[in-house]
Amino acid sequence: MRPPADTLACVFRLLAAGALCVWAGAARAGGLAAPDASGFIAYDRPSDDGSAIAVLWPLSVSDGPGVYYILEIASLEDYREGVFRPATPKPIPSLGSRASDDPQYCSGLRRPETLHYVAVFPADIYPPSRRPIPPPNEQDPEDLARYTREAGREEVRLKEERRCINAQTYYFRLAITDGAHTVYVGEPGAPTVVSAAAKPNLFKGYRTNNLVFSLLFCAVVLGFIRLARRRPHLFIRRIPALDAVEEAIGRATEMGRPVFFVHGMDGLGSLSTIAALTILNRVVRRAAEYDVRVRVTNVDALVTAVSQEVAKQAYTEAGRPDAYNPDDISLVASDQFSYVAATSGLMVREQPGSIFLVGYFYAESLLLAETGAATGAIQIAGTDSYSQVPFLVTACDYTLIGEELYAASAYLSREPLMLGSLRGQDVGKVFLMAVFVLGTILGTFGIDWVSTLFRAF
Amino acid sequence: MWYKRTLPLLVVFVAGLVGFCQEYVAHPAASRLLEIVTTWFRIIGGFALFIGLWSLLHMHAGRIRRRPPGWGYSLFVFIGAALMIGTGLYNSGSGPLAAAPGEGSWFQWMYTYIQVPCGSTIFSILAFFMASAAYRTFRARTLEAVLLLLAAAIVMFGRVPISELVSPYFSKVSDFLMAYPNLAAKRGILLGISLGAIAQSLRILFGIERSYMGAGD
Repeated sequence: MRPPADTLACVFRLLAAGALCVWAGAARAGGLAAPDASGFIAYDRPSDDGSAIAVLWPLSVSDGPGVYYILEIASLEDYREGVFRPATPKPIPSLGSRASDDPQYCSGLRRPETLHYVAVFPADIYPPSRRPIPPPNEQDPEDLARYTREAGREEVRLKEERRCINAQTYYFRLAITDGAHTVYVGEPGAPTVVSAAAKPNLFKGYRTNNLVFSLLFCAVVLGFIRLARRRPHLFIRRIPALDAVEEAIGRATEMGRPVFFVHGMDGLGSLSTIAALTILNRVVRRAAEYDVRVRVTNVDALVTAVSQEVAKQAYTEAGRPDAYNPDDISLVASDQFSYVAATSGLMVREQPGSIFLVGYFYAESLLLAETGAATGAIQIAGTDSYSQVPFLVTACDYTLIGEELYAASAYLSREPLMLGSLRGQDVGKVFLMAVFVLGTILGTFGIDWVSTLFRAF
Repeated sequence: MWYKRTLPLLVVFVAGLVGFCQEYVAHPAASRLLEIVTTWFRIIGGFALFIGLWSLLHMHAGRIRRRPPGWGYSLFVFIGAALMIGTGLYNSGSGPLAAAPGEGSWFQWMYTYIQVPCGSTIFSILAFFMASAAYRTFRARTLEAVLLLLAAAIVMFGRVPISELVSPYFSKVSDFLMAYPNLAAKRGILLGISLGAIAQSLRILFGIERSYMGAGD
């Protein structure tokens, strides 16, 4: 019976690799063959903050179950005395720790699947010593303040110490072991030692694709904004929820009831809150024209302050500065479910004609939307919290889903420059859809460069 | 005008640009800068809390003066705020500058046995609201509503153990609906959000969108 061709090829490769090791002078013991010493290298890990050294070495013919690598490290002082210590908490399995497992830092390597890779953090192995700080007397405010001050200073000192420790040069040697035998990489009796120091890098190389696509998309949006200056009547798709804003305020006017504007849970650091504030400006301005009261509920103190400013300006622009009442734009609670209780209570008591629920919502979305629906108000919601979209779609009359929330301000203002950016946004979406289709087709045939190109870290 | 419009826009542009670059700079100086900015944001937020507290108390004081329907609830705001602030400052006799009150303090007792149960009560209402919202949505009036009803019925039934007794396909179809059509829609929304966020950021950075500043257009 003839052995299968791939088995023969495998045996041949093993023999050839073994012969190569012997020819290269690689050490062996008990059948263990250490990897080629020329491929054992250490270097500053690229694209990082200077906290790690990368160590690479080629695969060995002895790699297999029960075979491990031991990577050892020495500082300059230790190296002079010939003292090395383990660079990793545990031995490195020979069947794992491939460079291809860490594409964030190894994507630039040629054939990373044929290399072993370990990131060593020197400050974890030679940690700075923490200076003892006498514990505080918790009943003594001055002693407590002293402790807080000293602990803060110590943290800063430790951080600086770690930076200095990482910046020193370290020496590495590598051994392969199966438990019974251990063979160092290099000549017998003279292990190969490589050295490197970690340095902070300026640019996160693994985010190059992200940067390129971000800049490309920015260029497209800015290009359409420029185009909108010359051709102010760009076609923009309809957004029914925004067309209904007029209807909602009109309905509240006819019924003689207030308009409620309910902010989401996030603070000013969230883009959805900024988008909500721009919508608030438009809603208040239009409501002021119709002489309808707008009641704004907030859960964040900063958002309250900014909402008051936005509403004040909107009333002024509508020629009704006298209609502005700061008590109508207030912080009603600073806790999630207290906010729900307070806002729901206001809805039930004041029976608004229309309700806007705009921002980033969590579990409170359905509680608010269902209470609003029970009052019979027309409800328009807008959120970029995709987990809450189903609840808002269910309970509200209109919903701005995801990016429609960001488009709202541009859509409502009808200003050419804003609409231009909206057009750029749509072109970006079309581009991504095309990439998805292309990537799916190519991926089906085993070609994965499109997914590699869009890989995010 | 320069102080009111140009300077804030300049601050927004520079801060936005620095924030953008920070994402791509690996040097520890970038993360240190982020830490500093975050600390400043927290400090400013602390001051804004006073504005929020003033806004809350001022509104409820007005309600107590005017006596509209339900004005009595506003009294509870003052009682609750006074109790929590009072016990917090008293701090089991240690005063406001000592360490935060621990277990057994009045402040902690009121938080654990009043605020937390009240919050849980509100949260538990969600189950009933889900049922009422689902009832309204799943009435099979249109083709979309029928599809929604079918998908929901399969997913709900496929997620309970008894479905395995009826047919093993329920859980498989349920998993398929969640892993493919549902996930595809979610990712579509997420991508739209990301692109929308970039466009919105550009409008803000370049001063095209200014309404959030209270400066109008």
